[in-house]
Amino acid sequence: MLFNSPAFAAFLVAAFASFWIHEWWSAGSTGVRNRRNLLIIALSYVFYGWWDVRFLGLIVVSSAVDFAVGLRLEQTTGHYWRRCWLGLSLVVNLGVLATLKYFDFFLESAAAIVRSLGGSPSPMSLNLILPVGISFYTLQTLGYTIDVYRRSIPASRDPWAFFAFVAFFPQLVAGPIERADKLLPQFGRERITFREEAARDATRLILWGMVKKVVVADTCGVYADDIFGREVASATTRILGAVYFGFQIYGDFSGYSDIAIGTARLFGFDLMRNFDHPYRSTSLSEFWTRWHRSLSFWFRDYLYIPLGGSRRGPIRTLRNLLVVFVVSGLWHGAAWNFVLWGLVHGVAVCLERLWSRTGIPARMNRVARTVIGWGWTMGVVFGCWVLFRCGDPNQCRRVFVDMMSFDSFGKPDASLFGLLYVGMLVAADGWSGRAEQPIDPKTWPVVVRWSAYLIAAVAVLGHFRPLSSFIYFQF
Amino acid sequence: MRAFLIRVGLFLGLLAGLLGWVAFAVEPDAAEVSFLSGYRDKTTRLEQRDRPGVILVGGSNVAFGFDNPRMSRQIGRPVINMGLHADLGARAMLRQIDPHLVRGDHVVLIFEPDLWTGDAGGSAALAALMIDVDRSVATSMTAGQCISNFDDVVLYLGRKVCARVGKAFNSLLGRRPPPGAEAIYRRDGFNESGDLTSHWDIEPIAYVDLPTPRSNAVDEPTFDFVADWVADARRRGIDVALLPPVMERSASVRYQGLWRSIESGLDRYGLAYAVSRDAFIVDRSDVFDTPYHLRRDAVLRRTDQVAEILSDAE
Repeated sequence: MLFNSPAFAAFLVAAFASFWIHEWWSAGSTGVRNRRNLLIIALSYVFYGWWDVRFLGLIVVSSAVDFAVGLRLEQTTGHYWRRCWLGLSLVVNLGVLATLKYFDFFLESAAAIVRSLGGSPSPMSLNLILPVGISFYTLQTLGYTIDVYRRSIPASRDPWAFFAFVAFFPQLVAGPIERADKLLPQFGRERITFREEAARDATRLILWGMVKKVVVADTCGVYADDIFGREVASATTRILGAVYFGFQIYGDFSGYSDIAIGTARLFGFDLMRNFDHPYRSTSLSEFWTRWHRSLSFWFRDYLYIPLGGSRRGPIRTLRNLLVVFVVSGLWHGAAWNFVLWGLVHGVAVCLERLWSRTGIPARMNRVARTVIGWGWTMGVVFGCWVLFRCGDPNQCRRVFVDMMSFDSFGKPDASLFGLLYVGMLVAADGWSGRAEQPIDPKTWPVVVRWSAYLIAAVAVLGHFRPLSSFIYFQF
Repeated sequence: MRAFLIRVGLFLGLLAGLLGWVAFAVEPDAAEVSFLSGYRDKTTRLEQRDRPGVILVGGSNVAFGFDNPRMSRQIGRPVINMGLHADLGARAMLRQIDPHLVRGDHVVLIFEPDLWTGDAGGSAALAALMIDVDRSVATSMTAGQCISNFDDVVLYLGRKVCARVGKAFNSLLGRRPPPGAEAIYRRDGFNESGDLTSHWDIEPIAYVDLPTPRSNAVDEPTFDFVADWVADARRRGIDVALLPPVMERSASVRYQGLWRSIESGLDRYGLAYAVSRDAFIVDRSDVFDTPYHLRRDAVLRRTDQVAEILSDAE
């Protein structure tokens, strides 16, 4: 069920009504928490099963294994056995992910290597369907097991709360990837009270997310598809294509995250903020604390720091950064363009580190440092979006060759109309400061505010494209 | 909670009021609904004829695909082209002709594949038709059909507002829509038999190919509805024949799987094409701006082909 579909609108109304009627009905009675969590599980499974009911089994298995492993980890004191239990969780979760997402990729890559060495491997692939959201909920449950292993959090003793934590429908298919210490206790509450201000805030956030997705991202997507689909284009046209795609993916994913956070808030749950104006970043390190924050922080805490982080000298730090970014690229998709995307980001972050160690940036004028830093960051980010967008290496090469053909600078041979949408998003982002949404209810007069809501709603209806999926669903 | 629900209700009420005002008070952009306005003319033509004849029904493959004065001369009967837009769906098309059929009519159904998959029929085109061309289309629908088309109506109204804003913005900037499209898809582009002829002497501005079908599944309720309708029409003394639509060769290859599903669906419901599908596969040079829309020479060839099939049948 897509967030931008009439089916989800109907589902959300039904879910909201059933949830709050249950809360109202059960006020003061015993067992309310279990019934509520069962209701959330049922709603989440309906939401997920809407795509393909067969893959619900994977969520159930993943939840059951990690719940049991969590309990065993807490009860076991021996270091060896604790590692075994953690290993079991890693093998099951990553095994399922590796089989479904990466098996064909590794097989094809191995076959390509054999072919390049003169061999002739017989074609083999599993052609498995990738269950939507598996990369997201796998990291979330793994994070829980690792936290219990580290004794950072106690193991959950409430199976319904744990199953609801894994399957919670607003963030099940594309995050934010929540931490157990933040989200899991929210399922353990005896009473959830309806907060008027939070609900209003939630609906505004959902509307704003829809504007980003339906109005900005889908419109930019049309222009990006046109430019990326061309065999030949001028340098400026290709650059325009990268800009359109950059704003398509930003509107798409941050829009999704806003809808997810808003939806969860309607049910009295708080999710972490996943985007924080990433295109304002003046360094790549800053960009990765503003873009898909829940994934960046996950990799920082569960991969970068265990590898040694920045504590074991500059060489090890650079190696760790490269490992994290390559793994992050591979997490995004089982294809070499994603690996390359991660690698280039990793190398660029390493270069940035080395540059900052020279001390030159610190001695620079603040404005110059900001302008140069922003230019460098956006250059790398938007350049890398080309790698992200092009599935075919030949297409990638073609786009980069066109971009580098300095003799073909001039007016882009494509519609500039989409820049209007880009400009609107940039202006709204600028308007909002560091807030998560541009309309601040406390400062706008009521007529202006409600007019803005109506304009936003009509714009969403007017730009709606049926069957427009979210880019990050494929991961 | 109550205050929140009141606010949400108030917002939805305001939105509904705004869209309702757009539906009833704002005139549609003539260019947007001009082509669909042919619907009323075609219905009137069918209603006002004085003797039974041949009625061609389908989407734009029918609208763009015949020279009916020529066919009429060949078979000695009046021929009316009811083809308009596949997105209107099989139900709306059959509902349109049904009240005006008389004993002795020969209805030829030439449906595009979308009409058998259920993709058509809950569409922006149908919403535009209901709101801006002929509101009686909505009144002839069942409650279930109204509910299933509700989202399309809402989205169409949103698009209508945005189109207005876009147009105002464009005129402010002095931008004009690309030439060509409006010159073809317009109400007066149809001849007196309902054939679209405005594209006969011009070159297309672009070619829009058909995407590969997302699945080869067909919509059983549509087959059921059409089969029932055909049986009922035959009981009333109306001949009904099914012909495959015209389709460009490479698109036809991509549609092979879906075609097989459609043909086996027709078999299941006791329906069948009067001729093989291959008879209407054409070359790229025969089509205009989509794999369904024929150029003039191909229109004449197809007209002769269908006239011969109908003559043989009669």
